[in-house]
Amino acid sequence: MKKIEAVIKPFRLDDVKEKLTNLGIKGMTVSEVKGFGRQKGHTEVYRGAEYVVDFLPKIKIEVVVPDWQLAEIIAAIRESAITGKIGDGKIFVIPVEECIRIRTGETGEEAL
Amino acid sequence: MLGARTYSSAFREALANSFDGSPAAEEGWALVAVGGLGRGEISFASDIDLLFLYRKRIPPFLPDLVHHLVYGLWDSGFEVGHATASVSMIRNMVQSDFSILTNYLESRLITGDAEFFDEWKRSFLKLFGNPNRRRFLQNLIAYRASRLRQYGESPYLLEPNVKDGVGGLRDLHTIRWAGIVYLHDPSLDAMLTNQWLTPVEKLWLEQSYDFLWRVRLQLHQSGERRQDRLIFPDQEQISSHMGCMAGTGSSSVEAFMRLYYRNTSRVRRTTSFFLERLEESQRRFRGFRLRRRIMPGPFLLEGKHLHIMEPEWIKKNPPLLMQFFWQAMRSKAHFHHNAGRIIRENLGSFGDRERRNPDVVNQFFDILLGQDSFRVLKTMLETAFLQAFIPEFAAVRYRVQNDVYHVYTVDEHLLRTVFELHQIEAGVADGEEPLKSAGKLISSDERRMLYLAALLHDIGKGQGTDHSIRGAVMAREIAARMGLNDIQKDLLCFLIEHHLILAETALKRDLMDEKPVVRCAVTIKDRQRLLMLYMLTVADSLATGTEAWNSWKASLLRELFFKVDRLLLRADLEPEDTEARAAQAQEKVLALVPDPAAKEGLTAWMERLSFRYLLSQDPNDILKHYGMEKELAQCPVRFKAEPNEGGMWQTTVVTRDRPGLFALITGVLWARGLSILSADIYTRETGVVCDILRVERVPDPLHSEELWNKVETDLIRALADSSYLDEILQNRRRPSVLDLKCQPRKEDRVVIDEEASDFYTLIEVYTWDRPGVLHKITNALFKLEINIQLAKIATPGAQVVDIFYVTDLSGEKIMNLDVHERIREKLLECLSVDSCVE
Repeated sequence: MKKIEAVIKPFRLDDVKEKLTNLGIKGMTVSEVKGFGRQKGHTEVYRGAEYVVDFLPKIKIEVVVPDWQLAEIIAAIRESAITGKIGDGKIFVIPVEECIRIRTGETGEEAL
Repeated sequence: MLGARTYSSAFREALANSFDGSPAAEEGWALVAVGGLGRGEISFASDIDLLFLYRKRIPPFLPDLVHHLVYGLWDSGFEVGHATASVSMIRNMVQSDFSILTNYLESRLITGDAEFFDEWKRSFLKLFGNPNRRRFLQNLIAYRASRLRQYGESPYLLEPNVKDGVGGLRDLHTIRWAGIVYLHDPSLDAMLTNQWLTPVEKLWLEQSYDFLWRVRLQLHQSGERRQDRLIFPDQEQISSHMGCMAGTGSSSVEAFMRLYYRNTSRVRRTTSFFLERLEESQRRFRGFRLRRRIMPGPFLLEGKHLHIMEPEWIKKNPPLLMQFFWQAMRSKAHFHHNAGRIIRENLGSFGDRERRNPDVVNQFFDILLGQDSFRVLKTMLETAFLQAFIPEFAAVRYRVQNDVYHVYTVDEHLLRTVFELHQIEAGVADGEEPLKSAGKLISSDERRMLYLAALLHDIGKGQGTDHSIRGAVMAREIAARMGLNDIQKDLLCFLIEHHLILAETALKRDLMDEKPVVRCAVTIKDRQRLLMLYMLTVADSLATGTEAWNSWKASLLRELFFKVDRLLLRADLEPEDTEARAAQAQEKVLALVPDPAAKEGLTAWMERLSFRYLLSQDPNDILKHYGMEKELAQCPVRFKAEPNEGGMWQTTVVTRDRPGLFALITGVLWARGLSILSADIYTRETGVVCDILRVERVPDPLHSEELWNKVETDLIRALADSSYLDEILQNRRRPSVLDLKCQPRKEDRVVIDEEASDFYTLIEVYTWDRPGVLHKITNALFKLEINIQLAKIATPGAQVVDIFYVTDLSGEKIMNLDVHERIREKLLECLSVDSCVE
């Protein structure tokens, strides 16, 4: 099993979510985060005063998937999140040791 | 409620009967039901509260009996709370813990020594002599206040607790407890007789008591776990059992919850008034005078409360009702429960004439804009006076919005939006721009409309789809009634109709893309309105619930605000009705296509086109371009040429974007000896490019067909093989001497502008017209790794004015001053060489 952490642009969330649910993903965790990559923040000027904008709002999506589905999911996220402009985000893949469903105690891929 | 009572008495009976013989006959002990069982109402999942009472020393049989009974009940699945205590122990316990006291206030004998029990009960109640009573009442009020504070928090509002929540069963119990302590009688009849409740209130309480019990019983019956909270799945189930049906604007759950809130709201208010009355009647020194002041209108300010002294005057002069609230706001007074009653009773005399009365309207605005407005508006709402003044408000009273974001009902939410606006202006909400200086930047007239918009922005809810537009229509009527002028009316309706535009754009659109920002700008049209919409958006979000707003969302919204503000500041935006004209243009194009399936594809394609393109092109041309783009599936490039007047031709090239494309096209045209007069290039989101170039000096106008075929072939070959372009440039047709224009030459100029657009860097090139100059420039840009997104080429007279909207290869603005220098250098160098050989 692998955990996918994807940081994407906020307005792409609906598209990514739809794509993933169509592929049969059973669950995901979504958080509102702030960050920067090469896109970097910038300085705003408003009525003569300067304001530095350091961190840009992004959405982080976390899903855990079985190994056989990994490539498909990564491609799907990329396709639906991409705009071609800088700041599109990144996808990270992390190995997962175990997964347990709290209510029933099931483990492994069945518990996903 | 009958169910609860029946169950309770049946339970007690069963318990009593389970004792056969001996212990029951003993003296000096009693098995007492307390808590809900003692009150005579329990539910299927309630706790069973028992008290094993004895006189002084614990009887020898009691421990075993307790053990047996309690374990037996536990094993049978009941939740049992029990205490084993002597009379004096009880006295100590209740004096130290208020909740234990309330638990024991209502008790019934199950079995044991009846005389002993009666004796105990009497002495227990005697504990409440006058001073103890007062202390009890104070404790009761404080206890209730802390309960309301806890359960008034947002999570408890959407899924309320039937027992402990605001206006829940506990409030009704509170009244009973007070009744027991003061009157030794918990019944509502006794309250009525003592004038602590009015007949209407008694009726309300009885109805609500019944309603809440029905809900609670259903909840315990259907739920697996024992709990008193109306969680969403339970709401659904119960709403259908209670016979609530879906209406035009709401589901059956919403209808049920609306009913629920109406009941709990009544209970809460009535309980508050009850406690107030009780407190008053118990005031120690009746003769003790509070500070009294007579206020204009027949009002009396006594201490903190504002009374209406001559209620009969209201019928003759209904505007007094508004004046009462106005005075209350100015004096920061609280509302006496009597005043509330008087207002309710006199609502009938407040009619259309009063709604249109300018003095009344002015006072209303004073209330709305005053610091304390939330409290006053709330009372206006609860006494139904607000609905009398603005009848449209009645439709949103208690209206539920069935999702996790909207914690408050619509009416409450609207009032809270007004509150949040006050907070924003007071500088509480946000220390950052643009909110920080917002309050100072809007005029007082604008401020009035802003607050009125806050109060009315969701008034269109519950009437089907798109409440923004509906709300704006309703607001127009309300504004007319209030006697607002046209400017005010327009502003009010604008704010309401578009109160969602900023939030929706910021959260759902790509802010790096020009179009959504431009769309906002053309809709909003000026900076003042933008600022007001922004304030309204923040207040609206804060008033929706704690989940709906956080600094993350705030930063997205702020980004959009700054971008739109800058666009409006520059005022180089297309005039007024850009959005409308673009829509019109789209309509015209669609009209050219009869087939509906084709229309759909066409509409989707046009959705993604820029305003600039839509407004500058003839509908026939747009359709032509659409056709050309579709053909790209088969061919790498599509080319068309049409004659214009004056020996000029309009050529159109449609192909996929790639670095250096424009340089390539200009090169191909130049190689054939054509002179480019003007060019408009449009790069689509999809990466398709549509370049429209106007050319002249067509060598043989009579046989142009040949030329264009050659050009098309050249394009295809050059796209496939870059060296081909070099080849044809080498062999290009030298311009004839006759063509050379002899002009005085101005100096070449290159201006690079980062301010003009949030999305592109602008490069402006001023030079003199000569063959191939455009190709030189675009080629130089290509070599500098600059991507041309949009170009406006013009040759007024002999001058060349080329404006390029560019980005670097990753789509970002250039921003770097060193790069600017390099660009300027390279371009000027290139322009100064007369004959440019690659």
